Amino acid sequence: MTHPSLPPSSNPSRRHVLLAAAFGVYAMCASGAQAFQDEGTVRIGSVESLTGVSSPYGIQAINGMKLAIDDINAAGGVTVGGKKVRLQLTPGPDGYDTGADSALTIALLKKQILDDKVLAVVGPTSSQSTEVGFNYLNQLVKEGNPIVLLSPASGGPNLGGISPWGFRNMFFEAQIIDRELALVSKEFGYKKAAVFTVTDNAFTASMAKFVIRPGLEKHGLTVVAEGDSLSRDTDFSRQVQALQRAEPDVVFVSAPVQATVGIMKEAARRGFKPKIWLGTVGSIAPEMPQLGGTAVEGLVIGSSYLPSSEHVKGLTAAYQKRTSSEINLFGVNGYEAAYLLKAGIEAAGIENRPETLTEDRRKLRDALTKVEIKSVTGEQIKFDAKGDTVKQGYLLTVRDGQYVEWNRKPFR
Amino acid sequence: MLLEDLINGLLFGATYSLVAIGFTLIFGVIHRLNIAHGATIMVSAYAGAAVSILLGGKSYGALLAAFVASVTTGATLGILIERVAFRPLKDAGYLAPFATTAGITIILEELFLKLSRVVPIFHPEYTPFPSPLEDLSFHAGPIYLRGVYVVIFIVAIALMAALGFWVDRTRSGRAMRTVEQNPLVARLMGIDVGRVELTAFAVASGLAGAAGCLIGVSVGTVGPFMGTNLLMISFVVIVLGGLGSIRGAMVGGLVVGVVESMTVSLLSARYKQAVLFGLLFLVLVIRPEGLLARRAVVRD
Repeated sequence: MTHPSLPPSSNPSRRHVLLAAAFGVYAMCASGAQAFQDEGTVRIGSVESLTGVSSPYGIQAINGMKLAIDDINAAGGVTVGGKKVRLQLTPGPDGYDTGADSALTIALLKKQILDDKVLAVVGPTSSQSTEVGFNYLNQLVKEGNPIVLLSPASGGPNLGGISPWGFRNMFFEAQIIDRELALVSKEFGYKKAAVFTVTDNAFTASMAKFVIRPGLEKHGLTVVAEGDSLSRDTDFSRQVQALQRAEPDVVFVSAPVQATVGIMKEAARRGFKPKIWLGTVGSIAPEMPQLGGTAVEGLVIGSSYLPSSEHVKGLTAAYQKRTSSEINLFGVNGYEAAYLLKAGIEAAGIENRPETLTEDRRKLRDALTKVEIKSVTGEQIKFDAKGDTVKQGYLLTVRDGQYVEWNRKPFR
Repeated sequence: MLLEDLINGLLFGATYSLVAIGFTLIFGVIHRLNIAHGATIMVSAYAGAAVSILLGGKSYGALLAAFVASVTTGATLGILIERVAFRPLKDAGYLAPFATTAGITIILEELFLKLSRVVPIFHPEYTPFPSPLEDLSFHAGPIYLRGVYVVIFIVAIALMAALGFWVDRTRSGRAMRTVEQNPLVARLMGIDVGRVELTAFAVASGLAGAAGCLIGVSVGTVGPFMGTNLLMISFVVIVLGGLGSIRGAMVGGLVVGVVESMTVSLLSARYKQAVLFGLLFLVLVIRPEGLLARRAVVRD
């Protein structure tokens, strides 16, 4: 039956009505029908890489974040203006997927600010996108629309301080690398080092340039050989050949998981055995010990937490139950990021109304510079002057196919 | 040392040849690029890895079963891609299959990204491809060789020889060459062009499957995005060798393997792509039809 008041061409069919209804429901969800203080929610946005090459880290971060939001809401939510309100990830259920595309990250960040009207945004995932995102925050300051961008996964050095609105709760390894290099140099007496770097990865390249090489120099270790590769390289025979010829005591690997496993396996095949292998968090993945087998036994890596610690046991089990996969450092950081935001929101004194959103965002930024929380890892953490968290860290090694705390003794 | 680099480059280059032959075979027959060729390699590699893991992974029997699984998966996927992404677009523009196969690539990569999180034998980022060849290495005089590269080379050369025999000496191979040269004439001669195209897809994608298995074995892992880089390299290979030329793809793959190996050895891995694309640029300027393609005859 057609509507009598409409011309024939405009008469809505049953299909059109259903489509309109579906669009209406979508529009309500997209605009967050339940939001702000009157409805009892605070909107938090997310721009993580959920597809593409950075997705293993982004998916961990968003899953950790969602677990934390559920835990916070189950415990009553966050206190705003004396009232308990719920944290709402916007858009649900996973926020936005940037696909590790920096340009898309900017577009989505803008959408979160203007359309989704979120209080703060979590992400991005890769150091490259984070650098772009943090620089864009400075542009937003000029436009009068800045927002807090908190990245749980990007660990590249020199990104902190780009913008006063950019925060990161990743584990920054400079301090722990300094400690481990002091150990291998002064206590073990090692003198010669080699560095292997994956050069087309912003994190691993900048770690090698700004942290590892200066650290080696500072502790009197001479770099006798350097090798490099690209992220997708699968053959490392030439690099290992060059490193082996230089006979280094220490080989520092700044590479993602596959290249780390690849170069250490090739070294094992060639019988190349430096006194110690050191790595960065870029090499950390639950499956790495299995992928590398005996070749990666003895690799020393810094981590923000001990996987065997009692503190993270509950989170590890909950993550496993929710996702059927093992949590790693990026998932833990995602979880931690939600609690940092909770502490910031509660300390900021926001009003949580649409008309106070710009001022609320500024209050949250100011509050985050001062908040201090006890992380799920058991450590007390806060942001430093550059917006990065300082974490003491632990030195792990791979032993019998597991990450365990390194006993700080030489292997060979 | 340079001799070792040269030999290792040749050995590993055979894999590039295998990837590129499949890519160029499809182009030769239907004059369209199959962008999903890289994803076919990836899916086939996962199939091989799954079989290898389930069979314990360290026996040669498991490796053979994994190889068969990869080739079968590749061929089957190739047939599906032809049916879904090419056949319905036969009369569409030149770029239409480019878009559909790029779409299939994205769908397959993201599907396997998701599967790698839910299938218990897979891992989220990289899944192991256990094989008895992985740790095999030996010295031939002063030259260090990885056993898996030698096996890859032998298998790749054998497959290329079989392909050459099929194309040159068999009835269906000759039918394919006829379709390649002129589909209309082929049809007038009573050749079932659609069937030939489907066969070309199955064979080319079966070769992609073989390449996926061999690459997975040599690296020791498989991942959802492993096909993307290989597709780019095979594009360089087929342009170097001459679009549509099977022999060109064979030689082009070996050339690229050696160039990569020498660049890493003499310069740095970071210049690999620059050198490779510089070479491609030179070939396009000096001999745009490719190194081994026949020069086009221009009549007055």
